[in-house]
Amino acid sequence: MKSSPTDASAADHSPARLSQQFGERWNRFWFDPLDPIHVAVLRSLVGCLAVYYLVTFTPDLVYWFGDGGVLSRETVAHLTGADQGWGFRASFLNLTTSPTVLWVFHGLSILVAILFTVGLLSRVMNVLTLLVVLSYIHRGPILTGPFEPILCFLLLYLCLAPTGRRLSLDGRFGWSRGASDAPSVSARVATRLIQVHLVAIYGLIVTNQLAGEAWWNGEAVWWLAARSESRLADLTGLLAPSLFLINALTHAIVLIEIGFIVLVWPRLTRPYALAASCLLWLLIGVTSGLVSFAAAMLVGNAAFISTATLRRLAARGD
Amino acid sequence: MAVRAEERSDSSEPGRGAKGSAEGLSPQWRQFGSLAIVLHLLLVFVALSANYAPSALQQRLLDVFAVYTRALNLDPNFTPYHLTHATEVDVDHQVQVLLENGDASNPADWVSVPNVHEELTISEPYRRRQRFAKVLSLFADDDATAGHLARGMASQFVHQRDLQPTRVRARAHLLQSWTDVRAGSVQQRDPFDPSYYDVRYDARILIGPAGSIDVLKTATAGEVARPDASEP
Repeated sequence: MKSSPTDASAADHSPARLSQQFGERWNRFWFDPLDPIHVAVLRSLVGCLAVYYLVTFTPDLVYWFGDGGVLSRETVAHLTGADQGWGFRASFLNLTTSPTVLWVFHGLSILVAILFTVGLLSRVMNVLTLLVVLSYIHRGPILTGPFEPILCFLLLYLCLAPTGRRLSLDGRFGWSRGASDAPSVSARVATRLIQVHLVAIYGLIVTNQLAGEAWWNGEAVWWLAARSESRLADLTGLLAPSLFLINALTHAIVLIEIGFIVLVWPRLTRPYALAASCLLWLLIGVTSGLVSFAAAMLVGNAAFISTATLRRLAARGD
Repeated sequence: MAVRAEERSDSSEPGRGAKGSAEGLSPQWRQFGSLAIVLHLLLVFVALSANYAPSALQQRLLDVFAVYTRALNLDPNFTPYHLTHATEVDVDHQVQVLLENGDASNPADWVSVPNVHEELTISEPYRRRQRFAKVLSLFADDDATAGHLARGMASQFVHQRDLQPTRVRARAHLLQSWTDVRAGSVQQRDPFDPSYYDVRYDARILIGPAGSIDVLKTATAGEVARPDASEP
């Protein structure tokens, strides 16, 4: 018996069929094996961020956390509510205020981050780097800015992935499990989590910006540039003659952020979204002085670079 | 190598799976992984959405899942990702300390932390000192919290620098408007003119014989009741 065209079209859009299609796409999105070169590149970049973060504590380690330092454990406990029993902010830096022990911890922390960056004992060093970074954050929570949450989720997701299979000392010494270029499901999961979380951050930035008038009336870039004790460079002389320029840059920031959220996913528009985001973070870094935050967002953007491009870059490096 | 590269999955082509992939997941593991991913992302989205003006429900969810979100620093916790809303909060802050025998009316006698003229403004150490100053300014009306912070700053001067602070204050560096810079007076065009600074917190430091440090908050402008005109 022949089926009518109506029967065929009804079957294609049945809830069961749609559900099956959704499941198949979900599985492809999250669980299709991926070349571990993505997570290897991210390991190197995120590791550099972690090393930078820890090294910048060197001049002020005792100033903040030492005996007689600005942030005593009692002060931090009061600020975080830990003195009322709801802190959830463990830190090995709470174990001591002795300068000698602090410096030993600090040196070991930087060493761990360096080993993670170069891909030696990658899995173990990844977890340790995350714990170390969290320790510094929890020891001085009021010292954190927009950079630290980005660094934390990048480190967290990389813990899931075989970051040491390529571009690493583990790979060179043959310490990593599995063939260096064998596609990995965990690499896919880690990369997707970074991508989704990063886009959520863009969404957070845009929705919070649009809750304020300055981003609607086009003046926000001026108020960033006018912070004379924060900016990287004084752009007020360049911006002051033209309110239109201020407005254009402000609106461009918002549009690029919204555009990134939507356009980074399709392969056709992804390169343009990534290129525009480079300009975005350059502008934000210069006007606000939040250079480390801009760098972290650019590193996160690297999760969207195509496998073919990364392989070409890796081949050049070899 | 080129042929094998083309056969592999590309992150830009999520729909195509790798041929002969080395790893695969059983349906059970995919179900477990999917559940974990959904739960994790749900918590992440709750934490991120609560960054600005959270509702009572969002705050309650954050408290319930704090052991996960705060421990892993997934909760931005009021970090200003909006960069600026041009409010009185979105300005630079600094802490200033007046040492023993210093003259409060002489700007040179105040030690500024951070010091924009002596430090690299984009460096993380500078930024951390700025954030400390901002928190002290924001919590100026919370005597317990501000007292902790002021005491900490004084303690660093006493125990690490071997100096005797007598006052600690937090200042906000107000912003120049576009019209100020474009067509203002000489003072208005100078971003470091004293008129652009506003004291948000001021306290006296009392150091006991045993080295104990107490903080006595001083009244700021507008907090002192105006005298009645009928009073002598």
